[in-house]
This record gives sequence, structure tokens and C-alpha cells, in this order.
Amino acid sequence: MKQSVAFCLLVIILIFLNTACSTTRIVREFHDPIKLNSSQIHNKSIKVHMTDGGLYLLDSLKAGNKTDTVSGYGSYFNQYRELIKTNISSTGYYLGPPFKIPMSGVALFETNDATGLKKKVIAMTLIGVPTLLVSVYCIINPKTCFGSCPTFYAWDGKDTSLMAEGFSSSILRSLEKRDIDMLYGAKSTGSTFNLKVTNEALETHIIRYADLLVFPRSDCERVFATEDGHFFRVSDIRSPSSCTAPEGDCMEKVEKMDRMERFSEADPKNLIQKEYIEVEFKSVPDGKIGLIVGNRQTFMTTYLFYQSLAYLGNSAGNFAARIESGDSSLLRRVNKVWDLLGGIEVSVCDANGKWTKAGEIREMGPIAADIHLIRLPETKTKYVKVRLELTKGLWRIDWLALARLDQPVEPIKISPSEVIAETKNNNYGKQFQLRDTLEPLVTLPGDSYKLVYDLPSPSQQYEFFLSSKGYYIEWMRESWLEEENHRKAALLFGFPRIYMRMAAADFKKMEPGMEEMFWKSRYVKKD
Amino acid sequence: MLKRIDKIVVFLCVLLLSACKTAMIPSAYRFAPRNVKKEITGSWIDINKRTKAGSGPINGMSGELIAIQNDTLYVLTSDRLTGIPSENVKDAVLYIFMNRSGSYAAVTLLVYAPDIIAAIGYKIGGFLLFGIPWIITGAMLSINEAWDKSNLLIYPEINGLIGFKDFSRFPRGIPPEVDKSKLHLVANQKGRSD
Repeated sequence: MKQSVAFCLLVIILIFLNTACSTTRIVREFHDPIKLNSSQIHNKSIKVHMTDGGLYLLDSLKAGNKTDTVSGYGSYFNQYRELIKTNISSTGYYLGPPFKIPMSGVALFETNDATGLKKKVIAMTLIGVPTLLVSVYCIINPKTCFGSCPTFYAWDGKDTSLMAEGFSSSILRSLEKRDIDMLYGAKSTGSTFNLKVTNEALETHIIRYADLLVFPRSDCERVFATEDGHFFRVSDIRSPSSCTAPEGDCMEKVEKMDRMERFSEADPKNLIQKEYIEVEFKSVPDGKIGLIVGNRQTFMTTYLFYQSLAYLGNSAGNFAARIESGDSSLLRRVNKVWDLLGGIEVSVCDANGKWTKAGEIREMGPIAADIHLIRLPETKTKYVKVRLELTKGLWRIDWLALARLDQPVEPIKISPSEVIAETKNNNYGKQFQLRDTLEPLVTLPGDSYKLVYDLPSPSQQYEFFLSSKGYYIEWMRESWLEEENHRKAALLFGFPRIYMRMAAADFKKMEPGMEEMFWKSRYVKKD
Repeated sequence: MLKRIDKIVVFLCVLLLSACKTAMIPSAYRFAPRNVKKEITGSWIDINKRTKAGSGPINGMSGELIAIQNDTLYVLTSDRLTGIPSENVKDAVLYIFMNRSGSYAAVTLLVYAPDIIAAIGYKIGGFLLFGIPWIITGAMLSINEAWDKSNLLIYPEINGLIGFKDFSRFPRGIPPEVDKSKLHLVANQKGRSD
């Protein structure tokens, strides 16, 4: 599908350029006054060459009452091209009566048409205006652009698609952690499975490992991971019977994993203002059940992260070094900010109408949606009402479903058999295996690697997960240093509740275009 | 990426400057395509005349094409009106309008300028990548326009001299009422309603 779309786009661009590069031509026509039928001449500008060498340059030609004259407004020049008279102003107003030109004195009528001009102007406008808009937006709001984490792509059966982003919250070595991402739509290619990992941001990525976790499965079952890293084979996946958010019905947006997401805008007065989504399931499967949530974050966390670096300015390195050196109080302050923003808290309504917390999704990252399984308490009824509590404007929900948990399963872990550098100047060649956690893969902006995994059985259908570990270091931009403000940094890390109220107005100014601009401005495209 | 910025800027400047090169034509005779319909003169022409026995230095002249009649090209230079028998014309180029390659290159560079400035100012090479579709489009249009000869009549390679007649001041020939000594180049195309 995507290949055909890409092909169509390529064809359109080629046609477009071919059209735009069409030749500009002047089609000049002369009309003999004897054979003239004035209806033949529709041009706005007509030159009337007189037999004595004079020239009328007319805006349009009108047949006179008598057939032996024509009339029109414009200018008259003698044979030496001196301006004799004009009866039209530069703004198009008529200044007196029209010229009445005797046909007997006319040598020729001349018309000129310029062809191919508009196409070029249209081509330049269609390409130039969006380019300029994106550039200007990113110049004004550079924090909106050029951000991402290690980005993983895989074959989805039709195209190489964005599948996962690794360890988004690991912004320092001390915050390094393992991250498990479901490669929901990934398909193997024969006996191997390929992943492409790219660095599409102004960041240094340090990847200790990127293992593939595979689970043999049949067509009618899937495997999902819980937040605590356990995997369950599930079946009987059911869509909600209703989904209600503050804006109303949200069923259409959450019933499938289709990149049609439910999201809201941040509160204009408080960035940590919560909202609720209530989901009902009227035909609950028997046995143990779990809620499947497909989601990602909005760019609010990216904004706050970049803004915190900007406020820290030249002290950002010192700040990071203190955390790396074990300053636990500073680390707590950082974590407090993320804790305030919170995750997606899932609660279940019991028989008494009381909400009981079942779990929480806290995975950060605005690029690739991940799928999470939250185990729900057994209700022994056919009806379950689930509530999601989340910060307004922070989460994008793609999929909500209920499934029966059949059994816990253990993955087959596969390390890459080959790591192939796809870009020049990469430090690692085929010999690098991403197996030794003491020798991580370090990537810089623009780097791209192909990771090849050998599958146990080519004919088997698998569920794929990515288990990655590492961290990344955001590059400080010079423009951010201009915003260095230690008082605001102190407010953010010392009194985050107050800061979230104060920052709301600034964030709201940028919020509408952040998502679109991010995708338009990515540092490196996938292909 | 940033190391490449200077090379990209130099390339764009070369592109712009190369697109700006034009023949030595007075400004009153440098018509934009959309203004050809409002010109009141003949088009500008460069002629190389044959020398005797086809040898010796080529004798060139430039001016406004006044008329072609009786196998003679009448060309008005800044000095006088000259009649050149068509058999004496070795080659000639007539400029119907000025191609817009310079304008396209200038617009391309202007629209790309914010990206270059931002890339240098912010030291983020990624800004340069935003404009790649634009640079490709602008460069292709500029190069295409620069190579396009549809704004010219070229004798003898492409056109016959008879085709030049339509772009003279008097397409039907110089009227007898015209005092040839009074003809002069037009300093500006005053009176056109732009």
C-alpha cells in the first residue's frame, strides 16, 4: 500500500516537475484587418499597427457602431514610438472617450499569448510556501523540531514502517533502563527478521543491546506485555461497547490500532490537569482478562524536557553531572516533574461503583505507539467498566480492547547476527554484534544501522518484541542558551506544580502545530 | 553537515550568478514574458555579418529590429538605422523576451535563505534539509530556464530570417511616411499600462 502511495507520489512529482519545466512560449498572431472578425480577438492586450507606422496599444478591442472603425482604450504612439495620447490611467480608469480607429488606416492587429508561465509559478508556490512555513515555524520554535529517540523500523508486510522508539526516558546514563516495545505489525522476511535503527535527532544514542523477543503464535492469538515485563498469550480480543471522553464519544478513534488516535489539548491554565476516559465492555470473556492499550505521548514532554535544558543553559552539563555522580535529591526533583505529569492510570469499577486501580502505563515517547497489557481483576460478570485517568494533552490513545489472558509465556531472545552500517562515517561494521553491553553502539545524528536477526524457524508465525537498553544525550542548541534562566529552572525542579501552571500559556501557543511540525521537520527521513 | 554549509552556499551563489548572465541588451528592450504583449518596439537582435570571401574578422552589431523587407534587415543601433542584406547575415540571435532563470534562482535562494541563516545561527544542519525539495524544484526550474532557448530566434541553426519579421517594429515593412533619420532607440517603454 505504502509502496504504491510512494510510487504515485513519485509519478506526481515527476509529472509536476515536467509540467513546471515546460517551455515558456510567446504565441504571436497577426490578424489582417480585411479578414478580421473582432470576435476572434479575445486578448486583453491588442496592438494595432497602423499603415503610417503608428501603434495603438489597447487594453481590449471593441467593434465600433460602424464596421469601418474599431475602438478601444489604451495608448497611441507615433512611428517614432513617442507617446502621443493615452486614455487609460495606470490603475485602469478610463480618461475620456475611447480611441476610434479607422479600419482603413490599420495595417495589422497583433496579439500575444505567453504560455507555460503560470505552471512554473504554481510549481514554485506549491513547493516554496510549505517549505518556508516549516522553516519559519522551526526557526521560531526550534524546540519543536529535531527531536526523537533511537527509532526502530521494521517490515510490516508492505513497507518498512516506524515500529518503536527505544528508552525515551533514559536521558542520562544513570537513567539507563531496559525498554520493551511491541513490534505490533512487524513481519519476518523468510529466515531472518530485519530492524533498522536510526538516529534522527541532534542526540548521541548509546545502545547497549537491541534484542528481539519472539513468541511462536497462531493466527487467532497474540502476545502482549504487561508493564512489569511479563508476557501473556491472549485470545478473544473484544472492542469496547462504548468510549466516553470529556469531548464525547471516542469509540471510532480507539476501536482499532490504526493510527487514528484520541487525544485532547492541554489545559490552558495547568499542564497537569487530569481528565478521564470511561470505557465499557458488555461481553467480557470468561477467565482472566486484561485491557489492551495502544498509545504514545504527545510532544508535551519533549517540550518540557527541551525547555528545562534551555533554562539550565550553560549549567545543564553540571546539572547532569551531579545526577550522574549520585546526587539523589536532584534526581528526585527531576523524577517529581515526570511523576506530576503521570501516566495513564487504569481503574476498574467494582459492583459497588467504586474505582479500583488496576495498573498504570508510564512509558514515555511521542514517536511510536506501543501496546500495553493491564491485567484487570476478575469480575465474574459480563460487564466491565474501565476508567483511564490521564493528564490532558499528554497522551494519544490509539487502541483500547479487552482480551482473555490464556497463559503467561516466555520469549525466545535473539541477539542480532549482523549489525550493518547503512550510512558513511559509522564507526561500526559487520563485526559489531550489539551483544556486549560494555561496548555499546554509539550513534550520531543521521546514522542508520540494519540489524539482522536469525529466526528459529522460518515457517513459524511469530509475535515480535524489541528489548533494548541504553540512554541518549540531548545536544544543547545554541539558541536554547539564550533562554538560560536559573530562576525558572529552580521553579521547574523545585516547585513543579507552580511551574506547570505558569508554563501553560507558553505551551498552548506552540501546542497546535507541534505534532505536524515534528513529523515534517525530522532530521533524517527513514528512506 | 555544518561543514557542508559553505559549499552549499557557494553552489547556490554560482547558480544564481550563472543564471544572471545575459546579453548586453538595453533595459527598455529586456521584456519579461508577460510584458511582450505591451512592447512598442521591435525585439533586440545581435547580428554577425559575413566578411568578404567568408574570411577575416566577423563584423557584429546589435540593435532593434525595425523591419525586414526586400531581403534586407533594418537594424536600429544607438547611432543610426542600418540595412543589412540578408545574404550578408552570417548568424543572428533575436531576443523575444528575457528568460527568468535569474529570477527563479534569486527566489530559490531567497526562500532558502532562512534555512541557511538558521543552520548557521543555530548550528543545526537539519535546517538545510527542510529546503531540499524546494532547492531541487528551484534549481531544476532555473537550470531548465537557463538552457531553454524558446525565448530566442536563432539563425541559421533553428529559425529562418523570415520568422524574425514578426518581431520587428514594423512587421509589414517600413511605411513610406517614416523619416528613417528620425528613428531612435526607445529609452523606456513609457505609456504601457502595466
